[in-house]
Amino acid sequence: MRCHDVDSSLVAYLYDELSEEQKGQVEAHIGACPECAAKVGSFQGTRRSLAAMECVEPSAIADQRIIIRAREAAANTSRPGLLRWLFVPSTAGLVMTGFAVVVGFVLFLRTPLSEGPAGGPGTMTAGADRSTMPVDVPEAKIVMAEAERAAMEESVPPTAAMPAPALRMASRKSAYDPARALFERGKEIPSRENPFDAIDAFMHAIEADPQGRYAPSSLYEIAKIYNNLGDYKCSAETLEMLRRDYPDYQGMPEVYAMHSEICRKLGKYDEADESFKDLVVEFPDHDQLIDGVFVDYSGNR
Amino acid sequence: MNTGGATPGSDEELMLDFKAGDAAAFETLYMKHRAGVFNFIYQFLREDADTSEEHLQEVFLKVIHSAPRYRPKAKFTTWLYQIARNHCIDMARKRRFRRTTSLDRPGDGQDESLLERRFGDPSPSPERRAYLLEARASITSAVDDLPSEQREVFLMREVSGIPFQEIADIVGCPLNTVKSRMRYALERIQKHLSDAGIGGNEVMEHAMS
Repeated sequence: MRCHDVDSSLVAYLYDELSEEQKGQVEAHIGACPECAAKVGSFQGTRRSLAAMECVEPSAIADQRIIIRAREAAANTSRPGLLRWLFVPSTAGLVMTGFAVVVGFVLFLRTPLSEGPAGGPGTMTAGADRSTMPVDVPEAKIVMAEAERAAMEESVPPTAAMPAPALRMASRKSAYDPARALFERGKEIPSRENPFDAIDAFMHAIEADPQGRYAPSSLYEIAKIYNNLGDYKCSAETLEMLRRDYPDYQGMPEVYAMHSEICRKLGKYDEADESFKDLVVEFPDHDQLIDGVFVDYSGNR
Repeated sequence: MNTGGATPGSDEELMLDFKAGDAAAFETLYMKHRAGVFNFIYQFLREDADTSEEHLQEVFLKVIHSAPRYRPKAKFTTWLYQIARNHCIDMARKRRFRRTTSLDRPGDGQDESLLERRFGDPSPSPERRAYLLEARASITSAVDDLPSEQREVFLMREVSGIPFQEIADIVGCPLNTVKSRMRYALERIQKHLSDAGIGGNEVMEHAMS
């Protein structure tokens, strides 16, 4: 092999893409040719320098987003064509809501209204006494609708679970909220046994309504699951995303406290202190901040 | 179920299985190739990690949406990196028309945990860390200065580990052209590092000691 041949094989040699025979020929030549040896050596040195090149990985959240999309696509592939769309949560929600509206409207049209002086049959006049109305489905629906509205308008603490019966009634009778339904499903999955199924559900909840109230709560739940799994880096990244994207989140004190704890586990003591300082400065009167220490709901310090 | 004649256990077979509705097959493919694709996107476009993750998602969404029409005419990685490369070229083109560009350069030696993870030392000495961060900044600058056709070849080979013949198929050039571009890229990087006083042996010594 001549110098010219070694030169033209240089890149392939550096990246180990020569056959054993060719590689042997190159090495035999550079063993005998100082100039070619120096040239190969300098390129090998450059490649060694590239060891300092930044090597990054996507976050677990990014992985989950992509995997969830793939699962949805695969599910759509395996279901019969005409029924396929029924299994997409947002589409199913629209269908159910539309169906409920139609049924409600039909029932409303069929309901006899009380007669009044100013109108004919079927006219509801101002001041009509509701007690004179026939007590049938529409009356019950009005009472239930008011109860549903009250239930939905209650503020939901970040980690408190609603009582199951009220939860089911609210979700069945009110307009379908896919984000809420998915969040609740996530809470129902035992996360210690099935952590990734729970994370899936919470991710779906976020994607169903990224600006809704269940998105930050879902992120918080995901962070807790990663913490329990011992994946502190993912947990910290999730909490940082929550802080950045949902600065008005009700449960921010708990977020700061958890972030501080996880940074300590990661050995990032400066960041841990920063988070705790943010907690103390922004929420000095928080009822879990006792004598400068954050006490969680279990009484742990 | 594989009806495309792909080699059993291959990426192509996994993709065909996904086409048939097997989500786990896609997950296997994704976990195998995600880091290579992500690093290619990240180094090529030089945007922050969050934006790079969005690009990664878009690339794999194209893979997912193209699954019904997938046929293993070429290697899966060839197809995958063609999608990634085309996406990056589109993004780079759009970016040129922006009035302002961010002065923030991602990864300028700020992520110590990645550096520490790469070299397996949770607590490098301050001198070592400073040297490695300086080396990284020089390499980043050198790669950024490469012409795009050299940069894409360099990143696919060095970062994503794609063989030269496959790179030639991805970019649509002869094999020798690809090797020449790689040679020129290495020479430019070599000169840049030499001018910055960064030597390959010193980098390794700081990394491994």
